[in-house]
Amino acid sequence: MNDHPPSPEAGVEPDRGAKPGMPRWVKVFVIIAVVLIVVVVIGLVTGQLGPGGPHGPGRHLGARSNATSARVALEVACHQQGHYEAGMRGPVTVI
Amino acid sequence: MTMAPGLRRFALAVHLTLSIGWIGAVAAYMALDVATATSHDTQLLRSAYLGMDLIARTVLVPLAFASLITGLVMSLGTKWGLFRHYWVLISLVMTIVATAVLLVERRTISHLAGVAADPTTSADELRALGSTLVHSVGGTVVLVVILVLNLYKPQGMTRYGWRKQQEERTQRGGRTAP
Repeated sequence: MNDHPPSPEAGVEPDRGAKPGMPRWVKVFVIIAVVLIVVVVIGLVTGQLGPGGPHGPGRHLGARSNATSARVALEVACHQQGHYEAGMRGPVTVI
Repeated sequence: MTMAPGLRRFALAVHLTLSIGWIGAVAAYMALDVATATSHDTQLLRSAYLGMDLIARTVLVPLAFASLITGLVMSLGTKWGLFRHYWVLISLVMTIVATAVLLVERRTISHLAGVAADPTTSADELRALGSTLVHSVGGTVVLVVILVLNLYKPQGMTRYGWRKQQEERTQRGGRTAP
């Protein structure tokens, strides 16, 4: 982190009298932060960054269950459509 | 309350070690993260996810909290203060945000490792898990920005810092006045 702040007497920091304004580098920082927050909010609103979205924190959580759900859905669909053949343990591949 | 010079140097050494160690740990994590994003080797994917979880659990999270705490000690124990200078304030906010995102992401990493550790997980399912590269790259950028701020210490005093400085000057003036 640091050692010592510059001595006020050294004239590095604003002298007594006028209140210090926000430095330019801080303004740039704030603008970048606001832009990033807006981008994240837009991402959340559009679902890109939300749970389950392609870049959201929940995107990994469903990876396996999605694959399992797809298999179950396929089997159910096959049962409903009568695609099981006699003597077969699994559904006939319909894809 | 400011620390004595010897204690301050020791605290600074500890804080620097922990903070730069955090960046190094993120670099090691990112190497595994890149592997999960690019590799198709099942064994490599399994070990990478397990390694990422181990690094996040035992290195990243402890270093994040340790950096945050030693940073607070350094700012409160020196004349820089916590809210007096913009670079200290921005470093604090960015460290808190980085730690919070890490804690949220840890759950995801833990889940990925759990799926990868399961021997019934197929190769296709492993490849479908994806990576956390966006977070590790973003985290690295944030930590490097904090490091640069701490090294260069750009000028700029907050209104609170300016007010405190004026009060201290007034007190000093009052004491030295005949």
